[in-house]
Amino acid sequence: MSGRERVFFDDQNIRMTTVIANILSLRNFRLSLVFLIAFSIPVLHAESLKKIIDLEGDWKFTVGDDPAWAEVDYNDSDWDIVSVPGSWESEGFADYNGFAWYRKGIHLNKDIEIENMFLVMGYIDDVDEVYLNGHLIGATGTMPTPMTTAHRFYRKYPFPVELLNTNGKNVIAIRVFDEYGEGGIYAGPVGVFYDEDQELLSLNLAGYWDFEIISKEEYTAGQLYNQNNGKIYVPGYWESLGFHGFDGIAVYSTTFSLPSTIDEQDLMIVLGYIDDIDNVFINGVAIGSVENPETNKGRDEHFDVILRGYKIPPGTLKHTRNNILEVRVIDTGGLGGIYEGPVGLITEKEFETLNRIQEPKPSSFWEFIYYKIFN
Amino acid sequence: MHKIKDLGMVRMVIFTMSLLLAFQDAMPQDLENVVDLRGSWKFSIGDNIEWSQPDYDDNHWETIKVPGSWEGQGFYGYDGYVWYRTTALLPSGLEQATYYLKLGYIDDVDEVFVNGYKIGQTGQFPPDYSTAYNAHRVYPVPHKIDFYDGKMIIAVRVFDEGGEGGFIHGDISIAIDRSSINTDLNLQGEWKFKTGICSGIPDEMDYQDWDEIIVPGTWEDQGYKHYDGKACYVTEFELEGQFEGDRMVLILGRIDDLDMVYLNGILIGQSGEFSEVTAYDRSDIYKTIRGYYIPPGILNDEGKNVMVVKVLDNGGLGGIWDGSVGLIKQDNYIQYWRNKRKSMR
Repeated sequence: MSGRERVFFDDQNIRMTTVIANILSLRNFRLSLVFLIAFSIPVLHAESLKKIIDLEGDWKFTVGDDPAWAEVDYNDSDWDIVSVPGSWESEGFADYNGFAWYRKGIHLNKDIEIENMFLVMGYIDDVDEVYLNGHLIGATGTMPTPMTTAHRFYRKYPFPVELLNTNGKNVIAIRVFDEYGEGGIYAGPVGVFYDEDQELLSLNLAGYWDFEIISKEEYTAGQLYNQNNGKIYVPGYWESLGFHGFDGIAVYSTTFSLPSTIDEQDLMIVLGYIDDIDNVFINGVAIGSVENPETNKGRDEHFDVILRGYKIPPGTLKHTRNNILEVRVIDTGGLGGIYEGPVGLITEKEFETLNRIQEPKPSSFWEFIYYKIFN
Repeated sequence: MHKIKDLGMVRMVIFTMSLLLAFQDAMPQDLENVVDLRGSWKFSIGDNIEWSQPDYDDNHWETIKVPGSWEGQGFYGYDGYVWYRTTALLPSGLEQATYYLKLGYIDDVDEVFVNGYKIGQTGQFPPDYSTAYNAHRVYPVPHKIDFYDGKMIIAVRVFDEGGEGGFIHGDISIAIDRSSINTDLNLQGEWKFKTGICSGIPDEMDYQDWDEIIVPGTWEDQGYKHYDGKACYVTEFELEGQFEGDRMVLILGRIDDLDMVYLNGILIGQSGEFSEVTAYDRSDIYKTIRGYYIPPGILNDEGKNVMVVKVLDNGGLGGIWDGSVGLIKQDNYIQYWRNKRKSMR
């Protein structure tokens, strides 16, 4: 992708580890510890996110609930203005619990040629549904009644370029429900980002994949999954993509053609980060698993912080027709799924680069502290 | 609202203190007095329910100064039933306000009527007599009461078991709550009530035989003194198409502590998981005004609706105890919050 013209609204690089480092520098170390422990799962990854559009600042806001407010053409001119991020209690809506909506327009005047962008909405109390131009693109928690909160989850949603009006107005609308206490988008970052590391890929496979859960218990999939005809965006936590609270086994699959420009020699598949255990098949051939000692290098836990890269044996890929990639994921609790990229085909050489770029992933809080102090 | 975890003496002390505090605590913060009710009231010993009626002629009654015990005003040594009556003229321009009646401290038990409509009671009359001489009386006046010519005809039935009796001391006035939500359909008034559990599904409950209770008001003040735990409220209301096509919000006032609300058998709102753990974690939830968005299609726009509210009280006072109760159009509810924000900036 290098060499392409890009629309950069903001040149700021955000590394999640930087966020952590800032928190560590707080005077109140005990508070930092509490914060770290509370957010340790979603935050402790060194993803190379680059901000394309900064969405912090003024947003249109109203209490209440109406599906019409998701639409691009809805006239929100008489709504109040609040500052994001910040709880709505701090914006003059003290003691308010219930539904509220945020809206923000983005005007684009040329094509965005970056693929696989993410809308990062920081942290939201309690539950949210995010719409881009009237289409639901992400949701975390369960809307009432009864609701399940997701106020500790970091919101990162796909920002599909195909839904964008690249020469005109685009509207992000967020439906939030808060049951008690603070409500709203209470912490950032908030913006559109993309993963710089995807430029190392020979073939980017991020996008909507088929997704099927294998569960003994009956599980009703969310609206988002049904709207996308049984597909789910990769990468992303499945909790944010229609499967709140699901723990168990799920099968991801996608098909791809091998471009003639790609040399099959020394080719690998990279699947970013997966929570927790994966078994990967290409055209029915087992390619790899984190349970393989070569991959996990003897670490018998915290599989979710191991970058997945598997060599593809010569002859596995077909040049003439579609190749089938299937990833079986077992999540033993908490968040789950192929949750962070890059995802695609990569040369061995570039995989080594990727491994170098990605800071070593601390597998526990104390390991992380150790890493921060001694490196 | 007041959590009691320790046992033995500590528990007794805390409980007593918490009850005392509870009476101080259990009123909205923003009440503003608009009519002073101190002065001469009509007074009669004896007991007759007709004396609650607005058109009853009390011209031949004695007059008595309020506040002040009747023992000090010519009725020395009298114990038993008496009635007080007065007529208050409401200020103009406040027709839509939410009124409260403050009656100070009454020795021992009282029952209050406005324009013939019972608005509340504190303590228990015989035969299950129970004094409430140390309770500060603040009664919300339900919106559904008609104020004939802008008047409140107030009748107070009092029972005194012994010693001093009547309005002893305290703030005696009509107040308004400037922060209250003006509903489009008021649901304050007499509801059906029982302690214990219920399903929430109207067809499965014989609520017609239940006790009556006034909403809002604590259940401690209405015959369930010292009751903590679960209880059920039911009310029925008719709609005549006035809200057709509107998104509606249910306002349930302040509830001590937790609630689950069913409209026509469907759960439409709750203030967290219905458990003592939640009540403990959310120790100030009794102050929160409940506003529940009614999902479209659940209200019967033309005809009967049944609402069931399960309440879990974790200690101290309990019940749907204060605030506006009713249906409001979502547009008006949004405006309420926007105005509130403006007034605070």
